[in-house]
Amino acid sequence: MTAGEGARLGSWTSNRPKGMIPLGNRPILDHLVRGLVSAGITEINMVVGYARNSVMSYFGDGFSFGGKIKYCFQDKPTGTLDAMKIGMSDIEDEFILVPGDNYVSASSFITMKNYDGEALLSGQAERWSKWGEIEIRKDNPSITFDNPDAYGRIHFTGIMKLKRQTAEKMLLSSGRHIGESLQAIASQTSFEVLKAEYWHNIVYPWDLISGNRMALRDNLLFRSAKIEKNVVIKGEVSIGKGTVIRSGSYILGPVSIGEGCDIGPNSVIGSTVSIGDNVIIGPFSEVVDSVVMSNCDLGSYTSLKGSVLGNGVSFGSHSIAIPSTRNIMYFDKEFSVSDRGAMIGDDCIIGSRATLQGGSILLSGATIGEGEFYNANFQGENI
Amino acid sequence: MCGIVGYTGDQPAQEIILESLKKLEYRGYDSSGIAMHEGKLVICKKEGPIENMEAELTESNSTLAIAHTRWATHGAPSDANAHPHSDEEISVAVVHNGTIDNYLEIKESLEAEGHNFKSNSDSEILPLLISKYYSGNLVEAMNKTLNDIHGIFTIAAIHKDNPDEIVAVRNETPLVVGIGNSENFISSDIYAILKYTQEIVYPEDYQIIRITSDKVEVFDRDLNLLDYNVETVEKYTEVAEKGGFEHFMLKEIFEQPKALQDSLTELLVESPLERLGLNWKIGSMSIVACGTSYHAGLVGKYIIEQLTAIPVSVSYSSEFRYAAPVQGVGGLLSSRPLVILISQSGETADTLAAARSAKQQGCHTIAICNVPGSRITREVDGVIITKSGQEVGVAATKTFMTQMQALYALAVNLAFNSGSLDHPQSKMWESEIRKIPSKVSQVLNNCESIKALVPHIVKSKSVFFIGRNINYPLALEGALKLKEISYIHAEGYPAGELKHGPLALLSKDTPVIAIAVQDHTYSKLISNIEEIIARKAPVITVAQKGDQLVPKISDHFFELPEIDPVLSPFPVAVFLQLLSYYIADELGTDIDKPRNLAKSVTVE
Repeated sequence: MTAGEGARLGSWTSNRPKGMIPLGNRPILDHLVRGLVSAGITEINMVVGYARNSVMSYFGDGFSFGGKIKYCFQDKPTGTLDAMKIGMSDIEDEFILVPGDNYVSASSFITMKNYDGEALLSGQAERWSKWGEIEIRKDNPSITFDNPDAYGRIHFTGIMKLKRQTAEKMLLSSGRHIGESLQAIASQTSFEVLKAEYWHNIVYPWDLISGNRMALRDNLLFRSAKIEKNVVIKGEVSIGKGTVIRSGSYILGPVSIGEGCDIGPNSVIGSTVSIGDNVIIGPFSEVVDSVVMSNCDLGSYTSLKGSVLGNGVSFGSHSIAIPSTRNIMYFDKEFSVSDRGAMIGDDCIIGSRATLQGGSILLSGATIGEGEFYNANFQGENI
Repeated sequence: MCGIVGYTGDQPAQEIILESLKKLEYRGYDSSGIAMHEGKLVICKKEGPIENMEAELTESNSTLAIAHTRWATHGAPSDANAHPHSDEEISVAVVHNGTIDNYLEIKESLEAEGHNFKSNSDSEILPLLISKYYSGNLVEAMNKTLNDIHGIFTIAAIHKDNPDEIVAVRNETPLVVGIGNSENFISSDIYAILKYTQEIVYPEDYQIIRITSDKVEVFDRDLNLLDYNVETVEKYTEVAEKGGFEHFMLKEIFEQPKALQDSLTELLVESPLERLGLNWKIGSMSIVACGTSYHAGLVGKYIIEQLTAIPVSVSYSSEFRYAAPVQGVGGLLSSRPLVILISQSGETADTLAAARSAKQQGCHTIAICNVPGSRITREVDGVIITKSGQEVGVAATKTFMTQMQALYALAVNLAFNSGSLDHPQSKMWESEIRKIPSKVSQVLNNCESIKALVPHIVKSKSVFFIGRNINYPLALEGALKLKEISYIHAEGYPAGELKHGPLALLSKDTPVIAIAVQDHTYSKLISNIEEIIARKAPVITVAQKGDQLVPKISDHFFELPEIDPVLSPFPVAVFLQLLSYYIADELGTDIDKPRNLAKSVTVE
C-alpha cells in the first residue's frame, strides 16, 4: 500500500509518494519489494495513488526485481482499509499486507511467510505509531491506541498475514483504518504476534536519519567508480558507475554512493551515509551519519552530521550543520530530537558560511543567506 | 520497419515467439503471421494487430517458429500479403523485412516458369526462389537466392525437411542472433529476446546465419564457416511491458527523469571528446536526422552555436544524402567538418545513407543513438549512446530528451576544449545539466494542470505552436507530437514568422500554444502573442515561474519550474508531450500505434 502522500514529510515528497524516499540510497519501497521477493513472495499487488506514476515507472512490471507487480489504483485518500480492499480484489486465499512507507528488514518477510496461520508483525519504536500498539489480553492480541507516548512498547508495524475471510470481516467493521478495524474484530480472531528483526516507522524528517542507518545494513554492494590515488575505503561501501572519488578522501562504511557523483579531494564520508546520484561534494568536506539525496551540490569545507539534504540542495562552502539534542516544534507539536543536525527540504539553497543549528528544519525551496545563523526555532522559508 | 523473430530450441515455440513478436509490434502493425513445424509447415497469418492472428492459433508443440509483423510497403495490408510467405507446396516458409528492388523482373521470370503468385508482396518471390534452388541444404539455397536479388532485406527461412533449423541473412536492415541454453533466436532487435538471453551475435551484411537448437553457424558467401563474436548486453530494467500505465507513451514520458539520469554519467564524467576522436579544431558542423531527432538536432544547433561559436547546419537525412557536398557539410571545406547523425534506432535508412555519404566526403562522423550495437554505431567514427532504454511508443519522447541532453553535454565539452568556456564556466554548465532530471520531474508532477488544458484544444481542427530561439524547435516538436498521435492538424512556427503568412489562418477556433521563456527574445515574443490576441485566437502559454506578464495576456497558462531559459527545452518538451498525450487520450486514438506510422524507419 503506497497510495498516501506522507504529509509530515512534505518537503521531501514533492516529487514522489513517501515510499519513494530513499533510505540506504534506495526507495523504501525498493527495500520492501526486494525483501518480499527474497522471501519467495513474488506476486505483488501494489496499491498506488498519490504520484503513482513515479512508483510505476520505477518498478515497471517487477520483472527486474524478480517479481510480478500488478498495480491497483486508489484515486482518493479514502484510508488504509479501503486501500486493502482495492489491493485484495483478485486474492482468493491468504496474503501479506505491507504498508509501503515503513522500513522493515527482509528477514521479517521470511518469518511471516513461514508461519502457518494469521499473524501480526510487531516491532519496537521510540514513539507512537499510527498502526497502534499490540497488547496481549487473555492470550489474545489486540490493538490499542490508548498510550500515545509509549516508549519501548510492542508496536504494530501494519504488516500482517491474513486470510481473505478475515479481511472481509475487517472491511465490514466501521472506520477507515486498518488499526481501528483490527480493534473491532479482535474478539473474533486469533492472530499470532511475530517479531520484526528491524523495523522503522518513517513519519518525521528525523526518522530518515535513523532509518538510513538501519537500511544501510542491507547495502547492496557494487563498486564501479573511478577511484584516484590515496583514497582509503573501509567497510561496506557501494559506489555507482561514473562516480569519481578524488585523492586523499577517506570513506568509512557503511556508505552508499550513487552514480555520477564527484567526491572532492580530501573529503571524509561516513559512516552511515547515503549519497544519491549526481552529487558533488567539494574538497575538504565531511559528511557523517547523513542522507544526501540526488543532485545536491556541497561546496568546499562543509560539515554535515546527522542531517538530511533533499533533492537538488545547494550547500555553500564553509557551511555547517552540526547535531544537537533538543526539543523542537514541528507542525505545531513539540518533539524531542536527539543527535540530529539539519533537515533540509528539496531544492533549498544554503549560502556559504551558514551555520545550521541542530534540529533545524527547512521546508522545500528555502533560501538561507550567506553567513546566516539559522536557529532551529524558525521553520519558515527564507532568511 | 517490419519485425522478424525466430526460435528453435527445446521448448514449445509458439508462446515464446508470440511474446517476442509483441515486443516488435512497434515496427509495424498492418499484419502479422507465424510459421511453425508440426511434421509439415503450418502457417497462420492475419491482417491487423498481432491479437487478430493470435485468435486464430491453436495449441502447437512445434519447437521451431518464425514470425513477422508488417508495415506495408509493397502491397496493401491484407491476409494474403502478410508474412510468412511460402511456395506452392509449402515446403519453405519465409519472413522478410525490407524491399526487393528487382522483384518485378524476378516475378515475371518465375511466372514464365509456371508459378502463380498469391499476393502482391515483393517478398513472395523469396520462398519460390529458395525452393527452386533447394537440394537438401537450406544455406546453399539461400546463398543462390542472394545472387538473384537486389535490395535491402533481412530474410529468415525454414524448410519442412528440418524441424530444427532457421537460415537467415541481412543486408542493411537489422538482424541479431541470441544464444540461449539449448535454444537459439533470431530477431530484428535485442529487446524482443532479452528476456531469454543476453548473449548476442551481430551478423554483418550478407553473412548467412544458420541456427539450430544447439548451434549458431555463420557462413560467408563462399559458404566457409566464420568465427563470430558473442557480445553480452546489459539487461535493461524497463522491458516492453506497460507496468500499470495506460499507454507505453505515458510510461515513457514518466521514465524521462531516469533516462536522463542514466545517460548523464557517460556524458559528463568520462571525457567524451577523446573517446569520440574530437580533440581537433572543428571548423563547421552538420547535424543530420529525421523526425523528432531532427528537432533535437535543431535545439543542438542553438546550444552549440551559443557556447562554441562553431557554425552548425541541420538537415533532414533524406535531403542531406542527396545534397551537393558543399551544402551537406555546412558550407565550409577548409577544415575537416564534423557530421553528427541522430537516430534513435540506429537503423533509420536515410540517416544511415547520410552517414555513408558524409564519410565518403571525408567528414568526421559521430552518431547519437539509443540502441547499442545497432547498424549506425558500426559505421561512424564515434558513438554517443543515450541510455533511454527501449522506446516502444511510436511517438518519440524519452529518446528526444536524451538526444538533446547529449548535444548539450557535447556543446559544453567542445566549448571547454576550444577555450570559449573556461573551467569554472564549464563546471557551472555541468551542474546545470545535472539539474535537468529533477526539473523534468517537477513538470511530470504537475501533469494534472496540463490535463486541465485539454478542453481548450481538443475540439479544434487546427493548432499552432510558436516559439523563438532555442524553443523554436520545441514548437516544431510540439506540433509533430500533436499531429502524430491525435491527428489534429498542427503547425510549429518561429513566432516572428506568423505575420509572413500563417496569421491568415488564425481565428477564434485555432488555439495557439506559445512558448515564452525570459531570454533575449522575450519582449518580441510578447508582441507576437499580442498580434495573435488581436486576431481573437485563444492563446495558451508556457512560461517560467514568476512571470507576471504572460498570465495576464494569455487565455491559459502553464508554469515551468525555475530554470535557465537556455535549459528550458527540457521541461517545455515534457509539457508538450503530456499535452499531446492527454488530447489524444481524450479523443481515443491509438496512441502507441498511430495510423500509418511505425518506429525504426528502415525504408527510404
